[in-house]
Amino acid sequence: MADTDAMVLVTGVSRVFGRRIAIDRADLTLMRGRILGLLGASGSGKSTLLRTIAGLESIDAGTIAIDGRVVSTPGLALAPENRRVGMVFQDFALFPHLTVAQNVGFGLKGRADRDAVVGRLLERLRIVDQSQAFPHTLSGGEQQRVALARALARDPAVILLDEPFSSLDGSLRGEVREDLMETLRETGTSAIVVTHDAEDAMIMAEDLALMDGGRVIQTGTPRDLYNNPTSVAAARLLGPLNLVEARVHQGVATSVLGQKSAILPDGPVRMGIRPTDLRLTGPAQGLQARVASVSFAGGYCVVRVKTDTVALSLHLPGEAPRTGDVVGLTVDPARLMVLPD
Amino acid sequence: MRGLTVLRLLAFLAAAVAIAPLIGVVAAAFGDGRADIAAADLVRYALTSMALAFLVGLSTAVLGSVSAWLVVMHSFPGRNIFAWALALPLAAPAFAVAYAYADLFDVAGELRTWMRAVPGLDWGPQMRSLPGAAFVLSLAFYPYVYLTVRAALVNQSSQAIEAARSLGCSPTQALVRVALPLLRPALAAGVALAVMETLADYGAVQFLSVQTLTTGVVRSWFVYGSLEAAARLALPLLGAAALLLWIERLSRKGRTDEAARARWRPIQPTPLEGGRGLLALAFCIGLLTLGLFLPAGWLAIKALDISPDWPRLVRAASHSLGLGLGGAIATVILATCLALSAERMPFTARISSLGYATPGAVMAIGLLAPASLLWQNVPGAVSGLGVGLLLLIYAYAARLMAAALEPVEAGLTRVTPSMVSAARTLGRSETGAALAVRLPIASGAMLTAVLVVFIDVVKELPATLILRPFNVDTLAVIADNYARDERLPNAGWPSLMILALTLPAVIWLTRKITASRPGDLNGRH
Repeated sequence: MADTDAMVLVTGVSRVFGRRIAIDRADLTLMRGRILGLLGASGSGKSTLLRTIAGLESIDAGTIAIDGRVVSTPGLALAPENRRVGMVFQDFALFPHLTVAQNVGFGLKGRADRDAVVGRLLERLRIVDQSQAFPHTLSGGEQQRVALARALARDPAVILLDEPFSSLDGSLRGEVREDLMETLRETGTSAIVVTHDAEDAMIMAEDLALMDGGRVIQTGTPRDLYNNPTSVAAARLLGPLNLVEARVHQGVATSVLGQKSAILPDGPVRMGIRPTDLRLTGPAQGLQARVASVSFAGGYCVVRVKTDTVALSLHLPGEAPRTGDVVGLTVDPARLMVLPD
Repeated sequence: MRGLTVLRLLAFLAAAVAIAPLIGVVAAAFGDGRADIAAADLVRYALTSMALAFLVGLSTAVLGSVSAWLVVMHSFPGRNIFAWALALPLAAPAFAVAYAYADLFDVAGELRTWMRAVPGLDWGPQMRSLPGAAFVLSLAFYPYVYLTVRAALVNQSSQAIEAARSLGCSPTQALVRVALPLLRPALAAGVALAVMETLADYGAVQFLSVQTLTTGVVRSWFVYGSLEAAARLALPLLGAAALLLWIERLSRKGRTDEAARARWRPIQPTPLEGGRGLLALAFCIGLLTLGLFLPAGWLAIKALDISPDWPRLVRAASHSLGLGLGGAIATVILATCLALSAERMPFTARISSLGYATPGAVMAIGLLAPASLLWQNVPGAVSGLGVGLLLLIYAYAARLMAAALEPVEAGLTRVTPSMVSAARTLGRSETGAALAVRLPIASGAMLTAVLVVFIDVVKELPATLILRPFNVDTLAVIADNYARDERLPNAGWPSLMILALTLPAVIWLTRKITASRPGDLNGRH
């Protein structure tokens, strides 16, 4: 894709705090009208990267461009208020001394225009009844909608969402996520969503970037990254993983789980398999293992088994074996991941 | 973002305002003018100041912590009223308490005459002495210890004590091993504040004929006209101020963190039944009577005997009110400039707090040198009255910046960093975000700061004495004038009028402070 389709283009950006490298030569592209997920563990630098895009942090190397205009270089930083970005914060950051309507209209100039935009957004996000309420009287989901409406009000080129669901619990989380996606798609807004939750990232994002230790380690579609991670860190970010020792010899990786072709030099590697991709067979078939524990987790059971050399975890829907049973395990070679050590 | 922004520039200016007089003192002390202070005098003043500070520190520690421990950890009749009322002596200027007790126990006074006649006793405490001054200042300043220890007791939550109990401690062991060690920082902070006020006091010790470094500073200027001598006497006070401020700041490190506040649960007070309850009640009533009701009542009885000079009193009251409000507003504006950048400039904020521990007399001496330069070099540019009032307000602001900074900073902590970031991404500059978000949210705290400074300015004496323009007398100044002439009934009127000005503010503040709870956002204003 041409760079003219890029709404946000981050090239070789670094940010250092004292001795700590928060972002290390990161590259990132958000395409126009799409939702990009930025997934990483705590301290991986994802929120700092988002703040550099918003202009809330300066950068020490690289460039950031928004809608074709360079907004950050090491010597230059366009002020946040002049970047045409909207941001939704982890704690929503609603102004406690202003009503919902005043919060949403905070960034707008001109009264007539402001009232019209605020009214339209409150209606779209179904919070029009609460327009005169103060933020502390709202539920978590309502607060989130106000924060989104406020960020959308200035018609930003891009919306940045920093852990938008982390302060919401269970059932509300899914509901709010659906609402948010619907609104972003309806308005055709380009958005970057920072999260540490793989499920949130994969459900929301059309494109995904994985961050670890300040670096963007892999980018692609959620399905592609889930199935074909290029490193242990990337594989782990996207969900639970069993890892075993393996060795590559003449383009084929071999471990207790089986064999898979690998374009890697000869030597030790790791082989991974998701707990959902391990299957049980009869005791005399496949890899022999003993069930060490079984835990009920709602829609599936977490079964931990041990072979002579490795311990593995399985997520099994339906009937589960009992602790102490001897079972056989099979693996679809296509589901195996060969990861550099 | 980095670099010098408008807000940072304002913070630097505010800090410069606070620091300049202190630099002035040091410069004057090392100037080449004559400063005939006998070393023996300096040592005598310093030793008296130390002895007074020690006695007041010790007795305020006992009175403040016992009263706080009674009120927070026990229930007895009147407990809820005493929770805030025990801080009311803060409204009374120490010199007024000194006038009342000196007169009450005067050998020729009504009380001693009555005691000689009826019970046949010819004994009474000698108030015009070091122990007498320590007694008066302890009653005036114990609320500083009471408020800090009370806050620490309330903050510590029942969970720490419950954890100790679940680990095998008896109630007494839990108190000794957990509750008391947790109180140590608060006690140190409260005593440091009381000692700072003791070293800064001029009116009470001067009236009680106790010669301290602060009375020495004022005398050097008024009697000998020697700025250098005054500045040299002020130097040890500056050193003591820095030390006390360091102790007070150090003790904050042990305070309850935000996470602990979220899990805060109130302490269940132990009921004091029968005689023990009455004893607690008697202690609190006794303390409040000695600290406020008795001195104020005695001054009122004496004052009612005479017909006051109302025009003079009204003029002085309007000066006190005007300077109080002007000083408070100027101080809070400067403190707010500092507070808006304090998080990113902690050193600047802390160093500008040095003025708080510096006696007003020292602050005034520090301003005299630059002021005389101004008067000599810009004649007629500003009227003497204008410059004088400006200098006075300057001295108040430099001295009380830290007192205002604390509530304003606390108010600004209600603004999360992400709220400021949100305002920035919504089109506001750094200054715009401060005006549209940070200041409105902290407005309640700014009002608190205005009241705190107002109370202190209305009670202030030494800096006002030194810097006030000719013919601008405040209530504190005319009380001091009358008291010097031994016209106690006349001194009673301005003293009681000061109380009338400060008491409503103190009641409002102490009720607000004692009603707040950990984790509370201090109400929605």
